[in-house]
Amino acid sequence: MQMKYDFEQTIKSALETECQDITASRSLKERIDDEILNSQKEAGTMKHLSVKKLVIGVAAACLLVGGGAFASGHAVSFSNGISVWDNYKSYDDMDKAQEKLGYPVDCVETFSNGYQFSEMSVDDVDAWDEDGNKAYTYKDMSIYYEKAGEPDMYLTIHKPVEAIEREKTPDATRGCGDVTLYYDEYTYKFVPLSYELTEEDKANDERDDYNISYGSDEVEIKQSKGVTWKKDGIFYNLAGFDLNLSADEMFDMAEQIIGQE
Amino acid sequence: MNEEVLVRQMKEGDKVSFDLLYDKYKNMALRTAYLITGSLSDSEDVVQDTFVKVFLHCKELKSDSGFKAWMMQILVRTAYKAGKKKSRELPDDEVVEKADTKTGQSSLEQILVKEEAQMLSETVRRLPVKQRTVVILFYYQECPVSEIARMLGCREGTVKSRLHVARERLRGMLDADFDSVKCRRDRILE
Repeated sequence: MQMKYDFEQTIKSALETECQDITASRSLKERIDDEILNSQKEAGTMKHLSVKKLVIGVAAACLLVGGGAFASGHAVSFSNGISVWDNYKSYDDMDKAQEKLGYPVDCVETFSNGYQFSEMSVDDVDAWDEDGNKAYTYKDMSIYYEKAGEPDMYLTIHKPVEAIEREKTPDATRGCGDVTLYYDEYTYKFVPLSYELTEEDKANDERDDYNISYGSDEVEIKQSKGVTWKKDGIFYNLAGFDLNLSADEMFDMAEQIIGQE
Repeated sequence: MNEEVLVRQMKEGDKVSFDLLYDKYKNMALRTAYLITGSLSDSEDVVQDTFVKVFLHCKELKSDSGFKAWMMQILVRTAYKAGKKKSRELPDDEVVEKADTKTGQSSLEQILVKEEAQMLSETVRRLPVKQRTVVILFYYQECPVSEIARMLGCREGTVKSRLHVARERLRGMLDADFDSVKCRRDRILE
């Protein structure tokens, strides 16, 4: 009889003996902490933002500059600071909001197509460089517009800190006095942090009209439409997801904001 | 502090609570990962991946009381993937490193017991990764079959089947190996 010992107990004891001297090193914990910190930097605070805030915090920034390309090459991503998320519920508070922003802006309370002011906020937006370091922070005004039965729209306004240039060729343009309006459509795929890109995702991500954005709770694909323009050194972006509006209708809304219609 | 409280606080973003949970489970996690991957460096990578996922995804944990099982599920699946990627042979330098950590035993009997244990572990390590993982969870972690099935995402019957096959293989390998070890042992102790 070969197996005279307690087979089950022998296996257990052997496994325990085999690894009893192994202990976690201090450097392992440091590696874990570093990776957590880097992951948080990469994700910014997007994980905790609703799709609405994602529009303002990330998509808007990218839409505004045509894919997020900065000529000076510093900032590559953006995130809102939730702690300063301070909404104004009444259009009568526009003076307070502009005071917080630091300069006057063009805006309207109601559009001729029925979209109406809903709320607004002035936030600090963090810009991050390629190494995950905060490059700078700037103030950004976001105004929400709503219309019964239609997706919300957002007007974001800020003064650019860096020189910026478009990467994407606009889908349409229109002149409005001295201002050029640019119309762009993008596809956004919002995915959880744990999401692994498929080959199709990787191919799509190469397109200048497609963005993959980490940080949502589930995979969502949305089409964005936006009109951007620059006036008096201030950038404006009127945009929304899955809008039932044409380029011309959005140009008309932009002209109402500029006051040229 | 109560583990559920720590988990709840971690889910609210409290890093200190995460640190305390890490301290509680770090060695158990590392040892389990080591047994599955057979490599110290791989097991550190597995523990790193696991606890980073734990912190970043802790809000997905539905029950605060189920932290250990949830963490172990992440660990085992991460280790399983690492184990599948790597060759199952333990690199020579790590064998030496492991052997060095076990020196300092005073009696010959203790040395031989450890040698037998090491041989047994080597035998477990030669099992295919699916069977090895089940053996480690069942014997080392003392997990019930139902819990192992949940961790690995398979049926209880599959776990039982893998355990059965693993036992048979181990018996076969140990029959042969123990003959030679026991002969050597008897010669030394004579």
